Amino acid sequence: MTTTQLILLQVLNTGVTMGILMLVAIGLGIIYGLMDVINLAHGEFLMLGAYGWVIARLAGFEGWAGLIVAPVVVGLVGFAFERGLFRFLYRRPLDSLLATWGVSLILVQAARIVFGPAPQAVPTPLEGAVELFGMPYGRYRLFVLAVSVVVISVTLAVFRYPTFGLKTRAVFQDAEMAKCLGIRAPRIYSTAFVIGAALAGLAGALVAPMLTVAPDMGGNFLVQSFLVVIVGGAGSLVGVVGGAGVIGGIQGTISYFSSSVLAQVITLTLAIIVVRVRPRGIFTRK
Amino acid sequence: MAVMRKAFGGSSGAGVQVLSASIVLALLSVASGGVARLDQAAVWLILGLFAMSLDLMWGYGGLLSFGQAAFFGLGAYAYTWLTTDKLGVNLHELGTVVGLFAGIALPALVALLLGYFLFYGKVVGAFFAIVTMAVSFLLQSLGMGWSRVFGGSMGISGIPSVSLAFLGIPGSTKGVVAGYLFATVMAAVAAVLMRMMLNTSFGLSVDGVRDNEERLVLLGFKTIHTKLVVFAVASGVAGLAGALYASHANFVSADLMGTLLSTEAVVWVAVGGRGSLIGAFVGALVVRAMGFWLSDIAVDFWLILLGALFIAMVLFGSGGLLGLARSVWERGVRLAARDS
Repeated sequence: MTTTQLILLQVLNTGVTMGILMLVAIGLGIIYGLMDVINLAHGEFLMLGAYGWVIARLAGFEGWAGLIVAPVVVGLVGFAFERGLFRFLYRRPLDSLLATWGVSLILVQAARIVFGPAPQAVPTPLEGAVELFGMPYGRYRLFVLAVSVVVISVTLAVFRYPTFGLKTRAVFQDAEMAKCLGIRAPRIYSTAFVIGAALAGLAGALVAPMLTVAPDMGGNFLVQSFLVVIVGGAGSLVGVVGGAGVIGGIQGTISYFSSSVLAQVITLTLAIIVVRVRPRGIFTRK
Repeated sequence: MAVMRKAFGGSSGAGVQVLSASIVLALLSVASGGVARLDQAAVWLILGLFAMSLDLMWGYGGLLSFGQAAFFGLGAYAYTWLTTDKLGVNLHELGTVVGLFAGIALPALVALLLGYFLFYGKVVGAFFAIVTMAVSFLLQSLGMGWSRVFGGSMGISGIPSVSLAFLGIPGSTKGVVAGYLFATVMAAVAAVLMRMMLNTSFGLSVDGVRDNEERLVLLGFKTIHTKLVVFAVASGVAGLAGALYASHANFVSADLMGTLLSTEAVVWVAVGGRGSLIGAFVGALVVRAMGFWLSDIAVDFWLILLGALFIAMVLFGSGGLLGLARSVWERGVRLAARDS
């Protein structure tokens, strides 16, 4: 394998890491930016999504069903939590932190009871590799890359162009004024929350065949998403996507040369330095 | 002298409270499971001291840390590194005493460094909580992965207990009763020292930073320095608790730095009620004892209950057990008054 090919391989792998991280972090970022709620149960939405494969198999669906089941189920779970608990916590960041951590503990333990504590392997729905630049590359990883690019673009477009996106950005900037202009903010919150949860669920379903599925798998993705929000700034979707690009890129590159734990420690150190230099994130204009 | 007497006179109460709680716990433990159960109870005392360190941060300083165990664990590892062959600096019995001080110093220094970046970066509130949580989570991952230094998933065992034998003073804190007494004394002394600090004018500025930082800044206080000192002292106390834990349990692992212990401490402080030190101490004893008792019945449901406690404390206010009892009482009185 030539150096160029190695670099290309590395770029593709980093792209996959970045894509997944963006899908997870968008939800966390939207929910924080819109409602001042830091959702510590967001990692568990991803975990539930990963178990989507297991649930689909138990329900008798084979093949691709898990990928469709996951975001739908997690979106519904998100909707239930939003109506039942989270909506009472809007604009109370510290309280929301405590309550969502409670939800996180409950979901992890419930998953342990229902699915068992041991990590489970999920078979890849797309076997084999394709020839790419003269080297073999896993077809499933390419698929994940493509899905992330499409879904992230669609999400960005949804929050940009249709009336829904316009209203959301209005609430984002000034909730009180938006309400005065007749925008039903609670409905925006609810929709945004469900979209965020479903995206995390999709991310979970996408990573499942590449990793093992375990009840406590969400923690790592949650902490990564924190770092994204810290580095990118929670002010806008662009910030979140940019932050995920930076963090995912550094993660992917360092973990290629060294261990992934070291990569995480370095990204954390970087995030703490960024906080000192650019408290509002590198992608937020003053 | 008068100043010292004033500071100490108002502070010894904290020590008396800790001693009383410890005596009650000892009586209950011996009554329910014999002297051997004191071994378990001493761990709770140490965790009670840990809870007080978080109360200093959260209840007094207004800084909610979701990663306090990072400093507890660092203290435990500092003690371990000086008393075992792990890093090649085994000081043996001398190390057990030096280790206690190192267990305070290392976390305090790390906190100063971390605090410098965070407080000058104006990280407060929920953001401070998630950054500290990330620190705790990643230290745990690092500990799991770096077995040459942290012992990895096996942890490090065979850590000696604190002993003064190198000074010719016989005995160690290894025994069940000696270990319990040692934990009690250390917790009481630390509580008195924290209370003394809070009783000074510096303590008043800590209250000020919590209640209205902006006003303090306008009055010319360097509030960032105040927060740095609170963070460092609280981390040092957490580290002392960690070192005591290593000495008592003779075993450390990466979990001691992790998010579960970090957030469990938040529950202890919330249950006991913020801003009273003794409340946090008792909160830790009560919640741990409850967990111990419940795990006989249903170990699977303990974490679910813990999660429910988190949600409950948000929905039912922030006064802890005391506050809850008070509000129930007041509601009862109101109802009675309306009926009559």
